[in-house]
Amino acid sequence: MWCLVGLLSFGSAALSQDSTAGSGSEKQWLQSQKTNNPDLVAPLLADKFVNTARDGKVTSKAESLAAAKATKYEAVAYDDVKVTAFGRAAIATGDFKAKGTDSSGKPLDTHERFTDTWVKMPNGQWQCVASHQSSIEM
Amino acid sequence: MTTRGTALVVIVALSCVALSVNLHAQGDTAKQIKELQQQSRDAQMKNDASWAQQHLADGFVAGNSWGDWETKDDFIKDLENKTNKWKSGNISEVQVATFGSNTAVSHYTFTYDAELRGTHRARTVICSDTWINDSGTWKTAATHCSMVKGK
Repeated sequence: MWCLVGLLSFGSAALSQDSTAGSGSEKQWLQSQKTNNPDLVAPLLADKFVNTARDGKVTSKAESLAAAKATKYEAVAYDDVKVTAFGRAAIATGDFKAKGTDSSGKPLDTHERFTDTWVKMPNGQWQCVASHQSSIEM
Repeated sequence: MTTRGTALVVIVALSCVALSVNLHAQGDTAKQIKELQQQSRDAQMKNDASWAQQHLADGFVAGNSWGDWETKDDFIKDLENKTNKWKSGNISEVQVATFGSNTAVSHYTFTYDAELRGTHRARTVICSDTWINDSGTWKTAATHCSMVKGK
């Protein structure tokens, strides 16, 4: 659910064009992370949202949210988040580290990079339409 | 038919036309993006930097399957680097989703065998590309690929 990670930085970049969306989304995302409750951020994902995980697994919005609900983070950190706006679209990239338990109950200890694609919808809300992650080869 | 009935028929007909035009436009965009996707890979196979110059947006970023980032300049330098050699490269399963008239995201599988920056890489990756319509020209704003498990 890298869109949620990338979202935090949007308040100061692309989403700053829409302060209501930016501040509200940040709070919502922070709350979701604190509580391990992805339901709070579901409205920020477009209906056609597609997630591509580091292992190449592709999931829809519903599948991604279901996986996120089953994932329990103990520690999450992100770094080097950059946002570039392209009119009504924006690209957020960054570095992500997480520890916890993944959706299948296995220990999670990962270091990845992500690219999130955000689109300003006709109703003015920014939504994430695609998120893609890859592992960092050491 | 009453005036109200006629008006209803006209509204329904116009709605159908609008929906048809919209779906047609989405279909055209998807077709165009698929063609551009193929052109992009063809140019990559030939180390042809001119295509990238024209079709990568300023601010473009590429995330590769081994976790490195590349800017537009980095990407073009790699294409111009004659020590990078592509033995093969095929894209398949291209799917395009459009968002309004100026944004599209393509997902596809890319299987390649190449010598890149002195490292031999032969693998199948799955990629997501974001396309933006820049004054009538579709350009790639971002691409990100990751390894497909088991391939």
